[in-house]
Amino acid sequence: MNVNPLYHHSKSKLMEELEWIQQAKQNPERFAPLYKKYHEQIFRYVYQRMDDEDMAFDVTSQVFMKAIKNIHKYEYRGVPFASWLYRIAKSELYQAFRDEKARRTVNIDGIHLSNFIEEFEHDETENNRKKLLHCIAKLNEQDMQLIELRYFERRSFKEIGEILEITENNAKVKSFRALGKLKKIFIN
Amino acid sequence: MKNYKINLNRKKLSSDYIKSKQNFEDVLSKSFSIGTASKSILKSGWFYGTIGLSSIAVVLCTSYTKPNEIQIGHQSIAKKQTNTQIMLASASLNQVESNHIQIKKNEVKQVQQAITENKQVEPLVVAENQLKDLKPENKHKIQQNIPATKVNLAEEIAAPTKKSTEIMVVIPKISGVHNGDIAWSDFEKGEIFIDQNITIEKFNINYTSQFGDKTVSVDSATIPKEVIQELKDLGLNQTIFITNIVAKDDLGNLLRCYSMDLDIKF
Repeated sequence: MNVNPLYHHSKSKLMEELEWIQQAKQNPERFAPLYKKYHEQIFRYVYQRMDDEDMAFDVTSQVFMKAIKNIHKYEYRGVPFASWLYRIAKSELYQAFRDEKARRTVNIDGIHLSNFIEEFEHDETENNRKKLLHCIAKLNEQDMQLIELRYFERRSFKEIGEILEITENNAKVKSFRALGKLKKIFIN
Repeated sequence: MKNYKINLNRKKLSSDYIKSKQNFEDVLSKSFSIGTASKSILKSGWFYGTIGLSSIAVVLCTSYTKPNEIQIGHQSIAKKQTNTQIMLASASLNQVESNHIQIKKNEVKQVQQAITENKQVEPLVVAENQLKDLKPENKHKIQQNIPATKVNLAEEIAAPTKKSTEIMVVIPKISGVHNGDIAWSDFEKGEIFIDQNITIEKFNINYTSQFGDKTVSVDSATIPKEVIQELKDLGLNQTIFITNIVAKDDLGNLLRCYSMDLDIKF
């Protein structure tokens, strides 16, 4: 699994970030370094779940607007600042879906399909690939999130736990169970 | 939410392109203008109008719920007056009760009569609060009159659903445990067992080592000693996943097994 260097900080990077957060609380204009640091990450998270590029940029902007407005409420609790931004992003995304401004999209690379088929110990035929796409579409939202975060975006269980506000072990258990469900749908 | 649109191999956007779309000044100015908009709502007329109407509605409701005293015969009863259920009356208790309560009492009488005449009682007529008014022996009779169809439905729900026979048959275990808590002393025995006629051919084991997540592929029925030692040295209560378990029966047929989630307890 890839390690996201922007998410998994060293101690010095964490201290530097805390300093930026303190300054941003006093003066919103000081939020700029945090914006530049996390803009691409948050956009990619949003765009992974949306079809429209412009709408994804809009939602990303809304995430940072909310973050700037509520930075005074943020408290450091041992998790990276990014996890707070991801939670705002999740909320803004689902608001956009509820308002019917955007449609929930799942973006998959061909290599992910191949990995799944190999995991399920089946031959990689065109039929199996189509069958797997149908199976993925049958997953509920919670399982889809876990599959996306773990197998499409290659995030660690720690990161998944912080984004979904669950423990690392729980993220691990739920991810494996989601994969198990997908396998069951595929085989049956 | 199952209404997904699935895109396969969508073109990826470059980091430079995404960076070119950054506009902090715009985001900063908009975040302040959102704050201004919310203040204007507080100053708007409809906001205070809504609050005023709500207050009037609350006052009207409370004025119709004052307690009242009613003198009936030799008893004095204090009752709460509601605007739908109870009507004021003079003299006797029967006249004070509402038509609604009277109708319910009549229905209960009908049910009691039906029981004594041994008639089939419509289950829908007999609600829980009516059962309370019946004598205990009659309550039991009513409960026995539940139609057979309801019982059959319950049995159908309890019946196991059909599953693939390939996976249903084989449930692997370590020291008798398939899923859930397992003591370290049982886990470290390391042998996955199904049945004396079925042998495990291979499996994957996933666990958290001191270096992070690790998956080891094994071509036997036993967890490798190195893995056991690693887990023992770590001494961490964690969930171990044993997946992709392939077994063979005595006819040489390959069988796929249920995966295992084991919570090791030191």
